Amino acid sequence: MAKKVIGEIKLQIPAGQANPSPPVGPALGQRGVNIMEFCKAFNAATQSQQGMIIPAIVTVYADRSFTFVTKTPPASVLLKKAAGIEKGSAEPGKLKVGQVTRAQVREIAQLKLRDLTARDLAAAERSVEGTARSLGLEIID
Amino acid sequence: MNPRGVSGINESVPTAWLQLTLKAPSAALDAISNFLIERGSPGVVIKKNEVQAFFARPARTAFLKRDVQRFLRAIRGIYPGVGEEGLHWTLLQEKNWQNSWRRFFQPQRVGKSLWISPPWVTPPELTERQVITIEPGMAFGTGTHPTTRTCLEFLEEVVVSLKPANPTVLDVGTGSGILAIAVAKMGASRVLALDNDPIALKAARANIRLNRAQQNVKLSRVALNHVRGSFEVVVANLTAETIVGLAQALGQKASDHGYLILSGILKPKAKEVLRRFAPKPFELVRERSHKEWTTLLLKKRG
Repeated sequence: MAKKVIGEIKLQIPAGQANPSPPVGPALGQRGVNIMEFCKAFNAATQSQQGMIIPAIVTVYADRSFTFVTKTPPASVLLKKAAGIEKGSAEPGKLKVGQVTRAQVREIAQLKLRDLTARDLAAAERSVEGTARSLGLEIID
Repeated sequence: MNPRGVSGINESVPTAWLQLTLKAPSAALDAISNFLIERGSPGVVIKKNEVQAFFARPARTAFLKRDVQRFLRAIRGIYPGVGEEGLHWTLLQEKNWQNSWRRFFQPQRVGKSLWISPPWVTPPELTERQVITIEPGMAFGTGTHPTTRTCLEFLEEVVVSLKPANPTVLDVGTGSGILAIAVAKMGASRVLALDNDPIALKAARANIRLNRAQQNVKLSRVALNHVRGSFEVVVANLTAETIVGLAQALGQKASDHGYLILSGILKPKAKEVLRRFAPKPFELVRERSHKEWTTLLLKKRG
């Protein structure tokens, strides 16, 4: 198991729906990752989260064997759920499509703290706020 | 090989995809990815400060491009300059992505007697070599790594030197099962293959079945120090650190005059590993390095 990492691929794909089409096929195919094996394993791992977008990080080793981990859904997905909206705004800033409370933002920041590159909870909150505003969500107290 | 001829592939009219590559600060990638997925991309690839999205045969490309531009302009108040570095739209022809990764795996001759092959390649009919079929996947040991090759070469040498006896073999950290399967095919009477990773165990089980080696190879997740008895050959393709940690147990599992093959060792660490085994109770028979990896063949003193 002389595991030396030769690549890392970050994807966001719908839970339980990975297939060889883009983005999975082109991204993994050029690294020599067994695409069907990834799809089967990802779909099995995310079956219970149907309807969610799930980030996955695929690690490729020197002999092109691979492993992957899945993360919590992106902040944007959690924010839409919190605001009870299907879609974000086509023109955030101009068109508001919903609201989230500061407490909800904090809750999401806490959940995402491990996945975000944020240094601390305050930074994670600022990051989630930015995402909320980019979705056309108003943040209320 | 006709890659299009594999079953399970949708052979309908090829689809063209529109690929969008867009540079953006990492903080903005979440919202942008969400927007692109809402506009029909079946997921995204995220790189450092970059996102890639894909749109299947968009009927109204101009509208899509306009929508993306409008969205990016709208979030510049939050992420200054986002999207100003340019959007890169390219046409991507539908390919046989399901099998595109296979080009990285070619059949190969290893040592004097082995032919290691992925399952989609038919081995030559007249080969006198033992054919080992390995499905590349989530377990280490696809057959392409220098450490796997050198372990196979050393196993071959040892099995030949022990003829006509058929040795017992312990494979510690079997991964895909490649070493266990190969040594069983070379003539080992009994092989015990260990791994503690459920994914590796599943892959090894499938590969053992694929090579019809169930008779001689037993797979187990038992810890090394709970393995009973000793073996004429012990092979461990792990890492220098893991080998050093297991040194005592590995040494005990090799029978008197038995062989120990250690691999997965980065060259600069070979001396440190060797010190744990030789000059006592083992002697160094051979050391072989390939690329940055070293493999040691040791023999236990009686």
